Amino acid sequence: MSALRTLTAGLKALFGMGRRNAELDEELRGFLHDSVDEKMRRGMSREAALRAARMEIGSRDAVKENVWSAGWESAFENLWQDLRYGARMLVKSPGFTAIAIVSLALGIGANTAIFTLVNDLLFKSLPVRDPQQLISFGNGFDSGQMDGMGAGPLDIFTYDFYQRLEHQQAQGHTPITGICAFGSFWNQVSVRIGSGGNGAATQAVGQLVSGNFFSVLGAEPLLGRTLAPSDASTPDSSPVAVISYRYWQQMFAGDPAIVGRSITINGTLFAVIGVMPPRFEGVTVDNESMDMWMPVTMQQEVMLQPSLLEQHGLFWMHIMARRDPAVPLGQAQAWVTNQVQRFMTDREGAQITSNRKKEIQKIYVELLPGGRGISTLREMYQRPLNILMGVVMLVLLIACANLANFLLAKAATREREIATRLALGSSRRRIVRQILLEALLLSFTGGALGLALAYMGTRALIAFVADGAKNTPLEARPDLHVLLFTLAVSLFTGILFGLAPALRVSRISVAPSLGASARTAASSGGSTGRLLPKLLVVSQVTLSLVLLASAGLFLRTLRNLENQDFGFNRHNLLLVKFSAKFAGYKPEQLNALYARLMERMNALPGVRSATFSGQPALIGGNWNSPIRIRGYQPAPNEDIGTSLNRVGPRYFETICMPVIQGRPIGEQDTASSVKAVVVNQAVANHFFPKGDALGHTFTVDDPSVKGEWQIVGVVRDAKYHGPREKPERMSYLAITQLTGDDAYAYWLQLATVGDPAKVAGEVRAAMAEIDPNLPILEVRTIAEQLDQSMGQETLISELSSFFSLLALSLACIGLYGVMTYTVMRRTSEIGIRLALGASMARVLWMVLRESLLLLATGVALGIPLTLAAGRLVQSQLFGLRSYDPATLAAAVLVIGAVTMLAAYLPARRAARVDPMIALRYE
Amino acid sequence: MPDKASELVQGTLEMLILKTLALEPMHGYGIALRIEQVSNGVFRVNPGSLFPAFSRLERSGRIRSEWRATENNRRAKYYLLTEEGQKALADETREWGRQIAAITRILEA
Repeated sequence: MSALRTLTAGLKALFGMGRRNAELDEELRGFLHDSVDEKMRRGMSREAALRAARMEIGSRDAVKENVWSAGWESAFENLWQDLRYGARMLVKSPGFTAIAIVSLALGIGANTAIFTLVNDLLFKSLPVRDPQQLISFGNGFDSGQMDGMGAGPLDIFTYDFYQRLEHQQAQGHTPITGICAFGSFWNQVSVRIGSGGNGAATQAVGQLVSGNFFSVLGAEPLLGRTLAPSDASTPDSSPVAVISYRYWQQMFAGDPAIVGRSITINGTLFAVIGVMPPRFEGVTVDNESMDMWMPVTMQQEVMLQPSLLEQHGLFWMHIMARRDPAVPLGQAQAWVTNQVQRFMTDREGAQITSNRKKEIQKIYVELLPGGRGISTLREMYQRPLNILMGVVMLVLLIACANLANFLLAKAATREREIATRLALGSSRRRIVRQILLEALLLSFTGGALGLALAYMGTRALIAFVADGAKNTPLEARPDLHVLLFTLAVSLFTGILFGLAPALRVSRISVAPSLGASARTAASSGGSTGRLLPKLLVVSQVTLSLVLLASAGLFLRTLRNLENQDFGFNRHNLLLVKFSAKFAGYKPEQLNALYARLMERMNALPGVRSATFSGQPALIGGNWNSPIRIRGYQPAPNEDIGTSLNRVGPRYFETICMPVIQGRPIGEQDTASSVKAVVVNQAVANHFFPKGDALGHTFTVDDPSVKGEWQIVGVVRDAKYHGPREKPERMSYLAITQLTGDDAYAYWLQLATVGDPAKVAGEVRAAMAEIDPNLPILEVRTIAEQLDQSMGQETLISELSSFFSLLALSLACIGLYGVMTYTVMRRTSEIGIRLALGASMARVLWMVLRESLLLLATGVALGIPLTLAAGRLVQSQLFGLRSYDPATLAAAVLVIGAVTMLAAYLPARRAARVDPMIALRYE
Repeated sequence: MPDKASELVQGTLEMLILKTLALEPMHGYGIALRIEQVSNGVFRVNPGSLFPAFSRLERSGRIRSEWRATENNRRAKYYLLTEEGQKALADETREWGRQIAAITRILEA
């Protein structure tokens, strides 16, 4: 109540200041009048009374000022005055202000940009009800596996396991209050909008989800309804879809009558039943955002694949649940793990071996927080982003040290002004506040500019991280968290660099500063006065060294990764993704299509060799299965799995993968001949250490791969997923001999004579010639693919190099400024030395020695710090140790050279000082 | 009338103003004059501290003001004690008495 009154009174006073002063004037006049009357009544003459009364009252303005400062609003006005004064001071030295604001904008902007991404990827919760209650069964990175789940954490499940848990949950025997499942892979589908399904075909990304997906998440639709459990009760019976806000806007122009409209998805008519709100992107936070969600029971129609919903089906679903906050997580985890083990045991059936039983006892499920959704991007970029966050903070610290130094120097030149203000009765507190205010003015202006810079920077960063995905859930627009972060960083920065000068100012004494030779007094202030700037320079050198050396490590890591042997051709290879399935081809028609494709593509000018396969080089699929080699008795618990790919003729020739033994897959491997497979060295060495792999046969556990396959060749090991992987087992099946769904090839690969991107147009034309309905989903060169697989390394190394150069230039500006200032203050001393006969070289050395000492101290402190930082990032390095001496030496050299340059210029100027001018310098 | 007026003890001016206003509403000069007369000229209050004190008291709701005509037909701002002011005066008088008694005891000990 009283606080409210104070506030309203203050505001009234602030806005009614004129009226109030007029009233006060009238009151004072009355006072004077009465006082004079009284004095005259006591016998004074009129003139004497008037004079006495005026003396008593004193300055009217002082009275007004006193009344005014009795209220809180006067503090506000003082602040405003100080702010205006501060702004004037900054405008008066535009060069300094510009440098300060730009370096702050860069520092704060870099922090904001990285933080925006960190916030997007690491902090943001899904826009659902109570996201902190959501738990994910495992990290959700695996996608699609047949069987052979060994000991260890499990994060992927079959549909019938989900049904089993759901059933138990419905009966209320669980420590979980809701459970939903969704397909682990997003499905690219072909959509025709328009009546009768004859509109143009477009591509969309959809996810298959259980009927209670939306209700467990607690996500409400914007329009219409979400899926209900009844939508996913019987297979193939409820063709409905919920679409995302963005998809609604893009494809239907935000049509308000969308609910109930029909669209054709992969040839089946679906009804749109609802639109989700703008922020809802599903539970997967990855480069591509979802366009639609469909009931899991429509899996055959959406995936154009045989049912995955049967018992003993594929492990292909992720599970999320809502936990009961009253039940400890450990208890829920034990319950889920128990359920999984029982399920796996049941699945094995009666003939389960005791070994397998023991193995199943070692399978467990980790319940992880799911409120932020499932994201492989997060996993991939978490460490790089943390490292970059550290880097940009160091950059900002360096910028702070710079500004602290500049402001210290400025404070010193303002000593007279400040001493005058003190002498005139200004309080020290107010002067300190003034200096801090100027610092904050700088930091907030820099922060505002930084926010704008960050917005642009973040867009570029997101484009990089999302790898050119058209629609990504990551957004550059700063949300409240980001704004608060920037605000806090600006405030912290301002205080950090404003504190030193403010403290210094608070120690200024009146007397000597107002004397004629204030400068001499200040410069003879001794080493303590100059210690702080030196400390700041030393810390800048130290931090710059850490940044430079780390950037060097990352750059060399990137080069090592790029220059290593991938085991295949990394130049002049074009990858084209197409889908015969979307075009309606049946598996039996494929071999004829492949033959036509091969004939046409291999004849294209500029194409050295063309082939096709299920997966291209460096986009690892997740197709793997145990194999049973005839005559090979596996040891208990032996890993008998291999990754699988399916390839057409000329595959190894096209991607330049050397065949070591036997022959490649070729034209002779037809549907009717003996089934041929080529294995890599890792398979051959594991199963056939004597080198007699050729001619052996094996069967594949994946039931869709039928028959016995004969090893016809062995090829060299290569990298199949990414540049850091260890040699992995890989078997290449002849695609023309596969049946059913496995017969589809998705990637054309063309080795070209020149730049592969130039052939892309002709490839598209040739495809259209063969079948205009054959959709091309993606075209990229192997170089682009390689860049993508090295995304984290490129991001870290390029950004950390950029930031360390930024830091280095900031440090240089700082050192240059400090040296210039020191030299300026010592001008008369230098003049005396020169006049007394000191040589120019001696003066030069005297000044340089000081910088050298700072450099040496900085480097001495920086080396152990750099080694410590190197250990922190060790896991991100490749092909070198964190204490790589060459990198460290290079960093020291660079920093030494640049620092000495920054010190040499002012030193040379000092040495050229004319003694006569210098002595008159005061 | 003694030549030398004493400085007011810190923080007592507001209490003296409240006490003066407890008798009747008064304008600024009236209050100053009354304090000077009643204290036999020991305390002289100048406008530089009087008016800020009015402002503070008015802010805290202990007094309020209104423009009235004076006895010699001039317009002047009169200050009136509010209920809150009466309560504050009683509290402060009691507190002051306690302190004075304590100080006297210490001085006479």
